[in-house]
Amino acid sequence: MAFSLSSCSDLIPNLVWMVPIIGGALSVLAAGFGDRARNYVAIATGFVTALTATLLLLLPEFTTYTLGGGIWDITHVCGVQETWISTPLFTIQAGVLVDPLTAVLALTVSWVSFLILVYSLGYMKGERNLTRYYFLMNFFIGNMLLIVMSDNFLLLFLGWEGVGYCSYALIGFWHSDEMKYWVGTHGETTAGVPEAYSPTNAGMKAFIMTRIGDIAFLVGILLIFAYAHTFDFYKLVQNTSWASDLAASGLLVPAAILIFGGAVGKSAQFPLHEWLPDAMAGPTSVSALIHAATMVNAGVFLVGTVGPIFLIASASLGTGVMFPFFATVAAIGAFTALLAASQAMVHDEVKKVLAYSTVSQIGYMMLGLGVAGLSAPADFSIGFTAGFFHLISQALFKAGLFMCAGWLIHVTESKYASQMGGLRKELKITFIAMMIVALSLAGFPPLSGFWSKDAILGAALQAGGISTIFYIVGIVTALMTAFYSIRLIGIIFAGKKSENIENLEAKGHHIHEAPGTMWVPYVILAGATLVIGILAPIFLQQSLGSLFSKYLANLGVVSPYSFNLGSEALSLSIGFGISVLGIFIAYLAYIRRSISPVAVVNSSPVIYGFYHFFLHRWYINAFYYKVIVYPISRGTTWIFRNFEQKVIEPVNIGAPEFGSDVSGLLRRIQTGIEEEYLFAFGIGIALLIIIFFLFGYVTI
Amino acid sequence: MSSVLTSLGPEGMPIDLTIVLATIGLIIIILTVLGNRSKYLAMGLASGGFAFGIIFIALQALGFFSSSSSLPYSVPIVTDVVTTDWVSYIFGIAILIVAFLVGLTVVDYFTDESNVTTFYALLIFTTIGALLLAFSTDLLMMFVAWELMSIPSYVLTGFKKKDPASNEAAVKYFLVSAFASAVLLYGISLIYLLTGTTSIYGNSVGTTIVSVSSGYGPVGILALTFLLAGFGIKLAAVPFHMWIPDAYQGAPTIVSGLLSTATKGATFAPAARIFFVIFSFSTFQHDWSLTFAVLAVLSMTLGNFAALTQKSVTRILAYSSIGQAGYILIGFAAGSILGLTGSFFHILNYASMQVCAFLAVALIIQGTRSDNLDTFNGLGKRMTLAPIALTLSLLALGGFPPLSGFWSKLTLFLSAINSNLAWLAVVGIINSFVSIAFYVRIVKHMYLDQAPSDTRLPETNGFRVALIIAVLIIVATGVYPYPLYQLAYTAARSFLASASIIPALLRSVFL
Repeated sequence: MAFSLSSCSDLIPNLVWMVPIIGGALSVLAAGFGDRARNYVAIATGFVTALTATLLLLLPEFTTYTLGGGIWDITHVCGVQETWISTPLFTIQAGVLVDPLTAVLALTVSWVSFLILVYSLGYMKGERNLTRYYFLMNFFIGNMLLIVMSDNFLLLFLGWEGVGYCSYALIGFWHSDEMKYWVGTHGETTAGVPEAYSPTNAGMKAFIMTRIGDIAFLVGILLIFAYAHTFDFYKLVQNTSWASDLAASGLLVPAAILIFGGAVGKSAQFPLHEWLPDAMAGPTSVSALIHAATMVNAGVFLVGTVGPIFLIASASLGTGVMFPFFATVAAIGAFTALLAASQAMVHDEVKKVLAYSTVSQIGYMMLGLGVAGLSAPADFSIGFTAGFFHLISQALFKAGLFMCAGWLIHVTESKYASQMGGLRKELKITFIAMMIVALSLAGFPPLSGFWSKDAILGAALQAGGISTIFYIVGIVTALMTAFYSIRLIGIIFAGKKSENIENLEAKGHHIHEAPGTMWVPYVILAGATLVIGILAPIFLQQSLGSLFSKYLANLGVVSPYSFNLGSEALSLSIGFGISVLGIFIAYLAYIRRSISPVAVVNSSPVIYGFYHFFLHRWYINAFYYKVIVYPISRGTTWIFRNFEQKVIEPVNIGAPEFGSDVSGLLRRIQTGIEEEYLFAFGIGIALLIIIFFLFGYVTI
Repeated sequence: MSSVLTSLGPEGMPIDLTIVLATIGLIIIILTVLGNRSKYLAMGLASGGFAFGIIFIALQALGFFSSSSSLPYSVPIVTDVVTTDWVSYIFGIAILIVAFLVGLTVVDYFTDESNVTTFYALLIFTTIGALLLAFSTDLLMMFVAWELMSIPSYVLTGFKKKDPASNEAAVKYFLVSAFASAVLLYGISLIYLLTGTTSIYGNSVGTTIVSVSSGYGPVGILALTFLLAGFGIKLAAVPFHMWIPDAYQGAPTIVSGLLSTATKGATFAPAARIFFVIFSFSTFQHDWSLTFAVLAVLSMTLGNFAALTQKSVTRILAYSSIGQAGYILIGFAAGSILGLTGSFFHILNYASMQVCAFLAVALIIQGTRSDNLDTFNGLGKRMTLAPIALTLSLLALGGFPPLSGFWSKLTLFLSAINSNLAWLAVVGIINSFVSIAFYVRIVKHMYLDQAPSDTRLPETNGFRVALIIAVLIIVATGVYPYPLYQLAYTAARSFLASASIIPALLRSVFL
């Protein structure tokens, strides 16, 4: 076989996901010793988790198989399976595995999560119910790491659902639904559908929408299980007869696309992307966690895991069998990227802009992973690496952006960018940090976002064919991205102070810099995006590429990776040009303010139409409510009146009554009179004898 | 130390264990002269003894004292009066864990009694009896162990001597048990009449005299009936369950916990030995699995339905104990390895779940002074650990995943289906469904209903430790069932191999 599955200790890989879960539980216990103890336990848990994840790279099991002995040469996987339950009828095994993909993701997830936990210390100060908050945060991280570490679909699905639950509970953290926690502007409607959501509503929306994807995912993995009789990733690669069986029934591509459905839900891709913007009703630290470290990355990870498996499994069936799957992934990614970026350009709520930007960036990652499968097999690693490089890069700058936004919203007491303005002097640190992460998002060199986004676009360009369309969509999106990132910075930090800020200052509120626990994490992230950006062209991107290339080779996809500035020159310069163009337009409109955006929008009915189209979320949200939510809710009301009340209700009343009647009858035997008990004993003996004699004989 | 302990060889292990425990029991009896001043010392000694027993059996089971790493699947047929096989190990450890947990709570529970030290002596002797019952392979030894287990437990039941309910419970329990002992002894004598030996394994080898076709069939069936009826008393199988609700309600609640787990669990071991070895299908040529199925159905149905409208929580638990016995009997009816695995697994789980529930209720009753369901209202706000432990144990008893009870019930129902007794599995599932109603109702009262007052109720440390241990067992087994399942499976497999026959061979798929 192309890969080696050595047996090694699974202690550390298991600790990676167990530590946050156990630590989360400990933080609940520590709450008994006071709030400080609880906070410290929760943050220490984050730190230990990150350290444990780092230990993955140092496991001797890796270095023994490495070519150069360095930690970047992880080429083998370490998988140990524990039997969960084994009956003669069925056996369920589950385990963890470490390969380059899981190691890289575990590192990213755990360190970014740790910074977010530290940030929470300042951001959530003085909130009530923090025990619940810290437990859920750590539980969230633990479940995400379980997704990453698991070696089979079943365990992955457990983590998947855990993440789903935590996102629901954390988005709806402020479950008292006070008006200040709502997302969206009150009174605004789109085609009659209100645009404002309470935290509990948003949490529910997230849960239900991702659930649609989860069902597809579950059906997909059960389809595979039905044919392969295993959930195990590496066993699926080892014995690929299941793929031909599935293909024979025409279910191979559908199964893959169903699994992708799970990723669409979790990663908020079109058509299940509408929950993420409203998920902004949660605390900003939660948004950072969902957008940077945990939830949305799960979908990308899933596609990254499933893609190669299907590619290898279908290899014997001829090339292009999986084309529809990868084309779907890439198309949905590209379309989502464009869809969300266009909405990010027009929204005023800071966090909503960032949410759309996440949806858009995840779209890029999907585009990269899809293009990987569309390109020549030898080029698979290019798109694959690009997708995950962008995931890391996005995790850093998006976490940074959210943390900055959290402080801005706190200090200006408003969620609207237009109610900030002119803050660059008072909030120097935040300004510089946010500028760096926003430029990274805008794809400006030498920040990490420039290299990772270009890697995706370059892969699409190189793949050619249908991917050229995706490339063009990607370039348009990149222009929008550069525009909206700098637009946000411009509105918040440039120009005059808004009325809101002046009112605040008049009331004696001083606009001041964030406390250390808050600014240090986002400054670190801004620094990280800068350092990675500088190191990327020198060696980092190449190392990451070779790492993933070895991982893929280990699975059976031979695809060497090489990165050099020369061959990338064309796409790099286009990317750079687009980024500068977008930044320049935003600069004119929002920093120098020589163009009035309002005037531009009003100048032509076409632009005005687009503006409103984008502002109303392409009417997709309204469409869902009108076509799906409201009819279902009307339908269920009808069912409630005509079925539940008329049929189920009587049963609900009748069944317990029947139970009580039987119960009363049976209890009447319990007279409390001893003689009757002994009488019953005698009856029992008689009964036994009768049964034995009447029914027991067996004639042989 | 180990050489002294193993001087009797591996087979001497039960003897070693009983000697150690009995010595501790005697020391505690001497300590009673000091009155209540010695109660903590007694608690330490008893807990130490139980802990020693658990470790000793575990080490023995892991092959610590013998050259072979662990017991082989097939155990040679022993004609000794006691044996050391996987069945006795798992029952032994379960009994000792229950006794250990109950022992932790005694001092905290009996705050008004003047002779708490005595309780520990009685607890130890009843535990020794239960242990020997699990280890015994001879009918006479078994009967002696049975009495040793029963007699101290009558006193324990009536331990609150100024409480009429406690006294009434003791008398009822004693009368029914005396009846059971008589019937049991009669059954044993009939077997001796037929086979000329009292050794259980001696009976099964090559002797077909009990066989139905030998002409002595009716006598054999009579023996089987009496033994089943006698065991049925302790197993809480309907229709021999009548004393259970009264006794559990009247007895000190922690004693009810002991009775419903250690005493009852221990009884399943000789029951399995006698029915599967002496009356095994191949020698007896009589299919009694239907009888067990009928008993299982009766027990499940009566236990679960009668609990539905019950207002006294201890009585609910008593009925639950009857219902759970029904589930365990499903495995006996199935008669396959999977069935016995399910039974053993469920006995292990049931012990931790039920003792946890009873101890939690005992702690709650101490505060509320009543076991009426209405006094449980809003307990979630007034106590911390007890409602959580009670909730978890009740949910586990109801078979909620991912708690321990789910897995063993699953195994039991699967085994029924596998032995072509699908209807029995259906009855079991319906009963599980019904049982949720009263299990969850208690939880509802504790967490959703308005508390009559906001005063906190005390939680004592002994109870805390015991409840935490029990909850950990329940949750750990639920999350990771494999080790205990495997233990039960090993016990079932080696046991049926030692019985060298597969009961109900014609009807069940051998698994």
